[in-house]
This record gives sequence, structure tokens and C-alpha cells, in this order.
Amino acid sequence: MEYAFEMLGITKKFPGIVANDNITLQVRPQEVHALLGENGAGKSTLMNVLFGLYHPEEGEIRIKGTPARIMNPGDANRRRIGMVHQHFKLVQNFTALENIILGAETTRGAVLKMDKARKRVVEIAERYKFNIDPDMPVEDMTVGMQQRVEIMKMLYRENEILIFDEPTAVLTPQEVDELMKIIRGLTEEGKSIVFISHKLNEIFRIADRCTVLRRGKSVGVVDIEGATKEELCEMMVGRKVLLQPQKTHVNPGDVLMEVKNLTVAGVKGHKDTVRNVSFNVRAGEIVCIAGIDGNGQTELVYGLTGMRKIESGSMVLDGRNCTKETIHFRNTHKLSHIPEDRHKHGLVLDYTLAENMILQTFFERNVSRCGIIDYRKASRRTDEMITKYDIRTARGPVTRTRSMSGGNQQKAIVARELERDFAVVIAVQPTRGMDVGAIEFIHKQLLSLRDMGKGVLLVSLELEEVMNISDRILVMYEGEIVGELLPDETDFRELGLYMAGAKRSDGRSEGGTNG
Amino acid sequence: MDKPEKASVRFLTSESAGSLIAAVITIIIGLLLGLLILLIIAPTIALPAFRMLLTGGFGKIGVLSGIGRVLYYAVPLIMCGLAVGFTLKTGVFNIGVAGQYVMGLFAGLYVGISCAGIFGSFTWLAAIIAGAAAGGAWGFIQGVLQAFFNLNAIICGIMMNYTGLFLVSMIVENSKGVYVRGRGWTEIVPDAAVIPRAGLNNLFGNSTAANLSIFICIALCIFAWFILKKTTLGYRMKAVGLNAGAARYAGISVRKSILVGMLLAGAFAGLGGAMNHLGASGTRYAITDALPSQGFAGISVALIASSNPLGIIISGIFIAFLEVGGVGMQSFGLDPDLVDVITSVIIYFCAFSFVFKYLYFKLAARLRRSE
Ligand SMILES: Nc1ncnc2c1ncn2[C@@H]1O[C@H](COP(=O)(O)OP(=O)(O)OP(=O)(O)O)[C@@H](O)[C@H]1O
Ligand SMILES: [Mg+2]
Repeated sequence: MEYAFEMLGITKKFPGIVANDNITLQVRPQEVHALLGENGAGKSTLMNVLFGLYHPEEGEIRIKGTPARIMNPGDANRRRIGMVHQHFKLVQNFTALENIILGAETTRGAVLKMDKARKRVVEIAERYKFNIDPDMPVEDMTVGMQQRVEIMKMLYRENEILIFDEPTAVLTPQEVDELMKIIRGLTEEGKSIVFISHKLNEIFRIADRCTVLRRGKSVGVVDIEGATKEELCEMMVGRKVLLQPQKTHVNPGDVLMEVKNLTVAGVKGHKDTVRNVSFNVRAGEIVCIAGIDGNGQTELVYGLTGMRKIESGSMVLDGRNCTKETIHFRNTHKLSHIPEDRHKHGLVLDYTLAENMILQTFFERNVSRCGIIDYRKASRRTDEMITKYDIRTARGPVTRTRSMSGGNQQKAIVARELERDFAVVIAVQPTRGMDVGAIEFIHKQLLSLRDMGKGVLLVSLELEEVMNISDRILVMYEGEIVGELLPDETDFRELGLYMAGAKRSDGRSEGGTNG
Repeated sequence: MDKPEKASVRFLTSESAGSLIAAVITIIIGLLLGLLILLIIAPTIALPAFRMLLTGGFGKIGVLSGIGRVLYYAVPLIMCGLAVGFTLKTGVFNIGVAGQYVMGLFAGLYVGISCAGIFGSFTWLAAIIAGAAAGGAWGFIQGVLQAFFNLNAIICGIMMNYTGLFLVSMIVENSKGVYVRGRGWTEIVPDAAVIPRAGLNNLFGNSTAANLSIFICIALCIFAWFILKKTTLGYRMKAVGLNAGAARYAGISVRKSILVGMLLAGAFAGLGGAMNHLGASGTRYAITDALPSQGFAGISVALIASSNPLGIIISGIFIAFLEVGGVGMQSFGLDPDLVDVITSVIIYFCAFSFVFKYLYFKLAARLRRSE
């Protein structure tokens, strides 16, 4: 049978590491082919080779049986290969429309034929049910929206081979369902798809076959029909993985964070602001904010961490009123924060790993003396965290974080925040982009911190994560907390109703108010 | 594990080697451009004049006066280059260097001329400190405008340049004992305010003005390098420059970083202005409505060196070398303005070194891939 495309014996090296070691990937027409592997296994690298961003030392690419040399993304595009990158590559101050047509503009003379492009973009948006305003600047969009723009970019270019590098890491369950439908539809239209995900559920739902990578090498191709999750996990990690964390019961202690009637103004583009939100986080408790992306979670976190002004209400942290305090003050007074956007906030990508690990502590006594930073000490600390959190790097503490794989960047941020001195950690999507093994570890870590009497405020779009590790669930809808639930007493369905605004704890439901 | 030729490729594509090679390529192209202009305008003397441009900085054989002159010219260039490069690291393009330079120059002259009675033989020291303070203040004001009022750095810089220049003219004209009425210039700087030669006159001869200030320059470059490389202040500044969002998240004040950067940069530029005018005896400042060229040459100096303070020492000396060579070209009967045009073309062309750096890395990537 003729493959849609083949990558044969691909080897790609970076200084200090062989990212792809003689990997072969063969994808059939109309197939959804999953690519599974630990963080840093080489998935993104392999796909960047196919997309012409990296040039392999060895190996060959064939498209429909004919050898192809893909030197740059332009070549890839001419061969109808499209890619949604793990970290989006959108122009921040362009609108959705401008981003979609960028590089594929239809012009009349030198004048952009915008109306025609707009019509097609609106058509695509309607056909695939993307809720995107073509004139909204990308910088005002949530990550989920940005991703839809990325997908529309490929559809606009009528690509035949579509690469999705961890598309679901930033989506809500509803959006994931939509995406699955879209992908199904696309294969029916004759397109072939490479689907990278760390979520086995998704792979089992959508993929036909799966190639598993481990530490740069291919360890096999599996037909999804007839395979089991445990089997795939073991292939990938090389050991058994506990998919459900073990949780013991802990009686919560004192209140560590007290939020009262908090109101925070909205970031432009979000549906609503945070309105009159009250809750608390106690010692030895994991409180989870659940909700559909864009219902005020981002603003709530910004308000709590000091990244946005609190309009009214108050926030007391470990006995101190922090309502008006600076980010710096909160950072140094027992607040830790795993941010939503690892590239915008979490890391200085051009700093080394060691430099990033001291981002909030570089001035403290154990890292610097008299204003002079002791980088050797920072390196040693970093080495410890590399070992403890299994952060995979090419060159240890001196690795530029820009060159690290997405999941490993995330591990680095989580390591930094959890190893700081804190009473409450605000963790926004802490395991985003991590492999199952890493997620297992981070969940264990969060639970053991809770057992030690820390407070955890977890903001997650991942219902499974919410149900598995939280002690209490607060559901946010349109900027308000509409329900407080206990994971043992609720289920996905009820949670979903709350998140969609169809139900609230005060007995009012959307339908009820009208009646 | 790696083959040896791989190691050499790796070296050639490393950040620092790439910056250096790109700088050299830029300079060579800039020089060729200068030669081309010479060939078009004065074909008969073009080649010898060009040779003068390239070798004039060495002076005559056996006499080191050329080098002494280069070191004197280098002082303001290095300081202005440092003023640009230092703020670039925190993400601010400091176009206002010329204004900071003039402010420093004026404060230096003023203290030098009017306070000699107070400070005695240390007048020069007081004067250059005053220069640094005035330049720093001017830079700080610009920093405030940028950080708190969100003014565009370029517009803000240009505005501050001219405001500074005309403010200086105004104050000079109204300063009794400093200004020579009717002549449009200041009094001569008294000897006590002239920076000591530190023995350099023995080395380079009395005809050159090389003095202690070149050592101050180099020391400050090393100081700036140390700040950026080792200190918490440098860590803050670079974090803001590389990712302001992450800096804010970490509780690093973006505004404070811009303010400190501009304050120090202004002090560097102001010191450069003061040291240039107090470096030679018998100088006066003439009222003018043209901004000092050093402020803009500083941009080239910084960009050639990729803003590395240690590299700025070298690129500053190199540009000074060209300027001295340019002065030498006048002996071929070339119009001074024309000489200015040629050296300026070369110097400002060097500001494009980042373009060549970009092209170089693209080419290097292609070479690596075709291997
Ligand atoms: N541009 C680069 N320069 C240097 N090393 C790199 C570069 N890109 C990737 N690497 C290294 O190659 C390895 C594979 O990275 P890759 O991004 O392909 O992993 P991945 O399988 O996509 O992981 P993740 O699931 O975390 O996204 C990593 O160890 C990374 O450090
Ligand atoms: Mg990846």
C-alpha cells in the first residue's frame, strides 16, 4: 500500500543530545496516526523535521512514495503539509484574520483581497463551528482561541497532511470533543493526520495507529484496536504507571488564604470580569477552580497574585492582608504561582535553566551575597531539581530553556514553584503538556505538600485532574463562583452542568430565572 | 563522539563567534562602501586617501602620536556606546545619548571653569563627577517619561536630545564668568580642570591629548560588564529586556529597571561628554544647534559589539581609529565635510551589523544542513 507520507531512518542531533535516533514513521492515507512518548522523547523534533524547520543528519522523507526534500515551511506548505505547533506561532498584534491569511495572501496587484479572504475564513469558521471573531487581535485571545486560529490557518491553506502537536493540552473537554469531531471529518475528506498527545484517552478515541518513542528512539507501532492503555504506557515509560493517584484523607487546618468579595477587571477579550468572588483555602487542602476557559479564572489568578489590580474585596494570605500588595511582596510572603502561560510569564526563554530557576529568589541570601549572584550555587540547586523532577535537558543547568521540550519547560516551572517557601501555591494547569509519568509524579507531589499542611489552589480545565486530586471544587461561570462541590459526591455530568451555567448552588438555574 | 570538523562548525555557529564574524563582515562592507564613494568623488586620490583612512590612526612610523590621538577620540565613543548598549540589555533603545552627552559636557565645563577656586587641583575630578551627575539626571528624566508616561523611546529620545542641547545653550549664554559674550563660546578651561595625562604624554608625545580618561572608560566598561554578568541588578535588567512579562510575573519592577538603566546610561554618556572636553587643555564649548555626533556614533559602537561592554571598548577604539584616519585624509586636499560624509557612512553602516548577524546565522544553518 502507498503511504500518505513516510519518514525513514530520521536522525536529528542537537549539541549534547540525539533528539531523533533512526526513527521511522509511516502514515497511511486518511489515517489518524498518534505519536506518543515521554517529555523530551523527540516528538516535536520529528514533526519539525517533516515541516522543514529542522534538517536531519540522516534519513529520508517520502510523500506518496516519492522522495521529498523539505528545506523550509514554505516547501512543506507547497506539499500540503500543515502544522499546529505546540507553542503557537501567531503574530500577537495581528487579528485572527490577518494571522490566518499571513503568507497565503490573495492579492490583486499589491492590494490585499481582504473581502474574499474574510469570506473564506468566516465560511471555515462556520463549517467547523469555530467561535472566532476574525477581527480580534491575537494578543487579546485565550490560548484556546489562539489554537483555533492555528487550526484555521491549516484549513485555509487546504493542507492534506495535518500535524497536531499537542493540540488538546490547552482545550476544555468540550473543545476536545469538538476537535475530535473535526479531525474525524478531516480524515473523511481524505486528509492524513499526525496527532501528538499525552492523553491516552484521546489517542484511544481518535487514532488508528500509534508510534511510540522513547528517548529519541522508536520502540514500535501499535494498532490501537486491541491495545490497552497500560500496554502503551509501559512501552513509552518502560515501567508501570499509576494512572489514578492514591489520595488519603486529611482534615484541613487553618485558613491560609481568605478571599472576600473579590472583583477584578477583565482582560480585554474575555467574556467577563471576576465578580464578588469569596472562598478560602485551608492548610492541607487542595481547592480546585473548575470552569470553561475564559470564565474569569485568568483574572481571578491575576488578582490573587497581584498581576492585576483588585478593584474591590480583599485577599488575606497567611494572616496578612495582601489586597494592595505588589507581586514581589506576595512572592516573598509565601505565595507560589505556576502561571497559565509558560512562555509569556513562566520562563525567560533566553536565560539558562539555572537562571530561570532563581527567577523569584535571585536576591535571597542563599543565592546571592551583597547583590552578587552565586551562579555555582544556583547550578547546584538546579541539578537537584533536575534529578528530583526528572527534567530532561541536553546540557543540564546551562541549557537555554528555549531549546527544551515543552513538557520539560513545564516541569522546570513546577519544580521552581513547588520548591520555594510557600503557604499557598496557585497552580494553573500545572501538568499541561506533561507525560503520564510526570503527571503521576506532580500529582503525588501536590498531594504530599497538602499532607504537609500547605494550601493548593488548583485551576484546571482537566476534569479528570479536578476529580482525582482536589478536596473541594469551586465552579466558575461568567466570573462568579456558581457552585461548591465535593469530588466524592459529584460526577462529570453534574460538574459539566455547573460549568455550562445550567445549574448553580443557590438553586437558581438559567432556565429557572426566566420562568 | 563528535567528529572534529563538527566541533569547528559548532564553534563557527556559536553566538559569540557569530557576532564577531558578523561585525567584521559589516566593517569590511562599510569600508568598501566608503572606498566606492571616494572613487566616485575623487578618483585620482581615492586610493592613497583610503590608505590614509586605514593607517592614519597608527600615525607616523616610530611615533606613537597616532595611537595617542585614537585613545583620546575613543573616550566619548566608548562612553556613548556603553550608554546605548547598557540600556539595550534592558530592552530600551536609548536614542537620547546625544542629549545626555551635552548635559554632561556642560556640567563638566561649568564646574571646571567656575569652581576651580573651591576644588583646587581636584577640580577635574569634581567636574567629571558633575558631568556624570548631569547626564545621569537627564537620562533619568527620559526614563521617567518612558516608564511612567509610556512615551515612545525614539520620540522621547529625540525630544530630550534637542531640549538638552538648547537648554545648555540657554544656560551657557546666561552664565557670567563662563560665557564669552559676543563670541558665542565659553571661556577656556583652567588647567586645574584638565584631566591629568597619567604619563600617557611620555608615551605618545605632548602633541596628543591621550589622558587618564581612557583608563576610566575601560574600568567603567568592565564595571558594566560585571553588573550585567554577575549582579542581581544585571539579572533584573536582562530579565526585563528578554521577557518583560516573565519579569513582571516574578515581581521584578519593569519601571525600576528602565529607570536604573537610563540613570546609569545617562551618567556614562555625561561622563563621556565631560571627559572629552576636559581632556585637552585650551578647549572651549561653542554654542551650536547641531547635536554632537558622538551620541549617534555610540549607537554604531554598541551595535557592532552586540552591546557587550567589553566588546564596546574595542569597537569604540576602532571607530576612533577611523575618525583619526579621516582627519588625516584632509591632507589630500579633501573637503572636511566630505571626509565627514565618508567616515559617517562607514560608521553608521556599522549599525547594521545585526542584519549581518542574522544573515550569518541563516547561512550557518544552511551550511550545517547541507553537510
Ligand atoms: N532547538 C533545539 N536545540 C537544542 N536542543 C533541542 C532543540 N529542540 C529540541 N531539543 C532537545 O531535543 C529533545 C527532544 O525535544 P522535543 O521537543 O522533540 O521533545 P517532545 O517529545 O516534543 O517533548 P514534549 O512532550 O515535552 O513536547 C529535548 O531533550 C530537547 O532538549
Ligand atoms: Mg513537544
